[in-house]
Parts: sequence; structure tokens; C-alpha cells
Amino acid sequence: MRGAVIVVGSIGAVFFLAMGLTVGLWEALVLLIGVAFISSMLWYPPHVMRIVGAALLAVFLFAFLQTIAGTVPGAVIAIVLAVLAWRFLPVRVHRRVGFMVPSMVMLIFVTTILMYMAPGSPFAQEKQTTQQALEAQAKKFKVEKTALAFFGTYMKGLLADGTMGLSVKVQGRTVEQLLMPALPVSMSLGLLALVIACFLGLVLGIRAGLKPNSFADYSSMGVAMIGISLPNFVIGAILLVIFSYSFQLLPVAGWGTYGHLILPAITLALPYAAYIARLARNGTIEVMQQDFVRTARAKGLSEQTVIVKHALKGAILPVVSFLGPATAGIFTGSFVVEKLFAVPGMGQWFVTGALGRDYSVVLGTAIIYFTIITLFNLLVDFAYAWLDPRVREEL
Amino acid sequence: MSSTADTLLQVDGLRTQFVLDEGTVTAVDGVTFDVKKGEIVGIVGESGCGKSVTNLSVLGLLPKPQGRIANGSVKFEGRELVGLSENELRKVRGNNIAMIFQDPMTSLNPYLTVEEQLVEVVELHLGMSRKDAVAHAVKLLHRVGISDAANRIKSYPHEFSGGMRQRVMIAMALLCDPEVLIADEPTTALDVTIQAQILELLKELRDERGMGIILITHDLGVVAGMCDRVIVMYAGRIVEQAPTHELYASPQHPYTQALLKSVPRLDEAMHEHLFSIEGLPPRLDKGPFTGCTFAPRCPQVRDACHQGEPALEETSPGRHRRCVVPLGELETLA
Repeated sequence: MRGAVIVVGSIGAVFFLAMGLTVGLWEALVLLIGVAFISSMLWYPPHVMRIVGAALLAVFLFAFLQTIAGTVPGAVIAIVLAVLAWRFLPVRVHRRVGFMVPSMVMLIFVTTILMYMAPGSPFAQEKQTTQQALEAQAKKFKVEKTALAFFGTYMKGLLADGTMGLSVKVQGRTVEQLLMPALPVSMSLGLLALVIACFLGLVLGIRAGLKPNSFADYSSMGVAMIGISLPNFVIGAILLVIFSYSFQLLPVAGWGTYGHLILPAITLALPYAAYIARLARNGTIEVMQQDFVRTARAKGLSEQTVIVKHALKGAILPVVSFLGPATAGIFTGSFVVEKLFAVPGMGQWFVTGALGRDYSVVLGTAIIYFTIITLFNLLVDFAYAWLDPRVREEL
Repeated sequence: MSSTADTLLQVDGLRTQFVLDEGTVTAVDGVTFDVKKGEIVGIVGESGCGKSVTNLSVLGLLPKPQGRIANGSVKFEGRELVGLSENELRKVRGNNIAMIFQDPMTSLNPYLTVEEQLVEVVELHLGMSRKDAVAHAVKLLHRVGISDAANRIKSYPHEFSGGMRQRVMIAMALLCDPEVLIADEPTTALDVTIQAQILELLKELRDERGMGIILITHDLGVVAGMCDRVIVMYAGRIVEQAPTHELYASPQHPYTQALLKSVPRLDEAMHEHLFSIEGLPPRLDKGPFTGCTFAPRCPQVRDACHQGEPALEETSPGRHRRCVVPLGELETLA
């Protein structure tokens, strides 16, 4: 125990020094406090954890709700929900919430530091601008001198004013005005891609895994290899040529009808379908060799029952684990596909925001991606526990 | 081998092969034995000698597509099982002939409750309603010594200890009151006190239901305490078969002699090394063999042993052995 404290302490000290020298002392201190706060939660007794979890949930809900419902109703709803959560949710959920909310704050902070460390500024132009004009612009868009000051202003904007700030590059628009129309587009595209990836991957993978080294196996894995190797703009272009140009079944690009959703979703899904197929194949092969599958056969069950009832759950567990990273990849990696099919999703803001140094836009997309990915990881954990009873107690 | 009214299972000249990329391996060759009502038949031998494959062949559970029965017959109550369709075989599995396996940790499905795993057998073979099936399963769990069975049946396998899991396996095998129970090393993965309890339970159940039991093991102590008859296997063949007490009193094959000699004894001095058989069993994929398969490791080997494989001969009623050394010339154990 003492040895561990010394090791962790010295690593922390070295890290802190390095951070202090490169990023700045105050930034390093805030970072250290944040990390210490998150890790300290491991030692909280259950009743303390419930209070902390509910309080953090209230803050998060308030920040989110006041934009939609206004300050007073937002506060009331947030407090009511937090009290309900404190009273009824199990401690393990509070632990997850207690981890998620400060992590999001740390994400905002670290992103801010990184944006400030990179050379250049949101107002840099080829044309020379006067010092006064620059300062006036900085004041208008609330771009502070240091990362720490910007972080403070941004958090105040989020919590007190319920806004994600003004976009520097799109004049006269707030970040929420830019992102809110894009969010449902990205969500429907991402979810459909996820469903396609799972369905295609599982069907191909399980079919291959049930008969390893057969024609079914080689053909499925061959398709999977193509899916993994080809970049998605190539796949997208091929699909466009076939379905939009030659057969004229689906629209080439744009947004608005269900038809517009299909090709980009398939393009986005194929590489993940390929990964899932490989995971499902290996999972199936492994589970079919398990002793309990032999037991099921020895009981006289039909091969179909053996597979569906006894083998399937074990076979798809590796796929479920992969769904967390897959979700992150599908949602954040949609930029190329959105460009190719001219889909007005979040991906464009993620990339143009970073390239144009639009600080508040970058932070806005980061917050939304963080929320989506964290929620999906939570869902994946629940799905895992539902499938495997041995994991249930650990959650 | 003679068939009488109380013969349940008759295995005759069974030859099981695995077709692999490297060639065909004969894992079981010419195995012949039978099991009568209320009888416990032990099959012993080292790892890889074909004990388990023999019994998987009986139920047609060989790994596909590599495994196949090349020759021989398996009759259950006079009905031929080899060549039956998968559908017909499934009606026998778990219903007339049930199996329990070595490792209860891995042989039960970790993703399903014990109730689900027990009830599906009853529903399948006995056609009971869900409610009756649960009641029947609880009754059997209770019988194999699981207290509070009505509640425990809702648990998952990982919530039971190793010994309790093996009891669950036994209950699962007994659900349809099978005529023959194949127990494939049922106690190998358990600690010694639990082993004794499980074996005692199997004996009780045999007395109660009059089923025939095939007990596969490599533990000669278990055989001595449990079995009426013993089959000794080596490299896929039966080398000796005898009533248990006769086998222990006067083994008639050098391999059996050596096996018995390697059992540690309490009355021997502590500082002496345990006896062990030199070398390893032959690799079956290197076959076919010209002489006796045990010859390279046999302490009593002579020229005749390499001349051709000795046949399984009956030395007295119910006693068989496969050895060229005449009985009179066989050295007895020191």
C-alpha cells in the first residue's frame, strides 16, 4: 500500500511538473484537482456517493434543460429528477453519473488547453488587422487570453446563461443554433448505420462461424476483408454509381426523404459490419467448442436449439464489447460520408470548427459526441450484464 | 458376446476414426463390451486412450465433420444406434442414455439458469407442461442433495460450488429416468471429500433405479470402490476386461499390472519413489501398428510381441485379455 502511494505520488509529481512547464501552472493544478476528484469517488461510502451523484446529475440536467425550458422550469425539473435519482437509483448508477459529469468538465478543459496550445488564433487573417479591432472581436466572442480564463467563461456560459457560445466563423449564430438541426441528422444516420452493421455483421459472422473453413466461411470473410480494406469514400462512390447512376433507385445526395438515408448509412456501416462479422465468427467458433454445447447436444436438443438457445449469447458477447468503440467511430467518423452524400450532419462542424479555430463550435461538438458515446457505453454495459449473468454482480 | 434380457447396451467391434488433413486417425479400434441392468462398468486407461471417444460414439456425438464410426455396432435394448438418423438419435440422447461430464464448471451453460437447463430436457422428452416440468426438476435436484431446491433452481451455475454443480449435472441426466448413464470422469475436477459424496450418490441412484452406469475414469481407486466390471483400454483398444475383484487380485495384462503398481499405497515406505510406466502411449496418428501397441513400454516384451497384434481372447467366463505372453509365463507383480 505504501509502495503504491509512493509510486503513484512520484508519477503524479513528474506529470504535474511537466504539465506546469508546458501548459502552465494553474492549468496543471486544475487538471490535477479534477483527476483527484474523479478518482476519489472510488472511496466514497454508498450514502455519500448517492448525494454526490444526484448533485452532479442536477447540475448536468440544469445545464441541458435551461436551454430548452428556460431557467426556472429547468432548475425545478433538474432538482426534482435529481431528488428522484437520489432516492431510487442504485449506487452503481450514481457511480457512473458521478464519473461522467466531472469527466465531461475535464474534457472541456483539456480540449480548451489543446486549442490554446496550437499556434494561430480564430481571428488570424491574411489581411493585417489593428490591435483594437482584434481586442474588440475577442471581447465580442468571449475569447479570453488564457485557456484557464476561457474555460471559466465557457463554463459560466453553459451553467448560468445556458448557451454554448457564439460561433466565430458563422456570423450571428450561437453553437446550439448550428448543432441542434445537425444532431437529429447525425443521430438517425449513425443509428441506422449501427443497426445495419450489427445485422449484416452478425448474419455473416455467425454463418461463417458455424461452418469454419467452408464455402460459407470463406465467402463471408472475403466480403468482410473487402469491407475492412476499402476506404469508405471508395465504397460510397461504388454504391453511388450502382444505385443512383446505373439503376437510379436512390437519390445521389442531399437530405429530406428516407431514400436519402440509405446509401450514406450503408457506406458508414460496411467497415463496422466487417469487423463485427470477424468478431462474431471467432466468437461462434469458440463457443461451439465449449463443453456446455456438447452437454446441450447430449441432452438430445436439436441443432437449432443448441445454437439459438445455448451458443448464441456467448457468441455475440465479443460483438457487444466492440459496440462501444464502434459507436464512437461511427458518430465521429461520419465526416467523409457526410461530405460525399452532402448530408447536413454534425461531422462538418466537427471538422470545419477544428480547422477554422472556432473554439466554441469545437467544444460543442466534443460535448455532444462525449454524451452520445458515454450513453452508448452505458447501454453496452447493461447489454453485457443482461447477456452474461456472471457480469451482473460486478456492474 | 452373449445378449441376455437384462443387457441394456451392447457395443460390438466399434471402430471410430477421425479424418484430418494429416490423414485418418483410428481413435477406437474393435471395442466390444456390454452393460447390464444395475451394473457399473468401469473404463480405465491413460489420457487419450479412447475412453471418451468410445462413449461419444455410443451417442453419435463425435465432432463433425472429422469424426465417424467406421465399423461396428452399438445396440441399445437390441436396437441398432449406428446409422440412425440424427432425429432418431436425439430421441435416445438424454432420454434413454444420458451423460455427465468431467468438468461441471464448463459443462453447464453459464448464460442460462439451472431451471432453464433442466426444464428444457423434460419438456423435450417427456412432453410435460412448464409447471410440471419445473416441479419434476425440483424433485430431482432435491434427490441429488441440493437443499432449498425450489429457490436454488432459479440460480445460475456460477452461483453453485463445484460439487453442487456436479449434482446439478447428475440431476439433469436423471430427469428422464435413463436406462444407461455414461459418467465421463465425473469426479476428476472435484476435491477428494466431494468426490466420495458424488460417487456415493451415483451408487445410491443405481440401486434405486436399476440403471446401468458406464464410469470412465483414470482413477483405479474409484474403480475399486464402484465398479462391478472393469475394462482397461490402451491406444484405442481393450487390453483387458474382468470383474473388478478378479482384476485387482490377478491382473492378466502387463499394462494392467503396471497401472495397479503405479497406485500409491499407504503401507509402503514414504521415501520410495512412486512406480511409473516409462514412456508415453503411442501417437494414434502414427498408426496402423504392426505389433502390440504396448510393446515399446512393456517390461515383459518379447520378440513375438512385434510380430502382429494379439487378439482379445477369453481366458475364463467374463475375463478377456489381449497379450501374447501365455498366462503361466506372465510375471506377477512384486
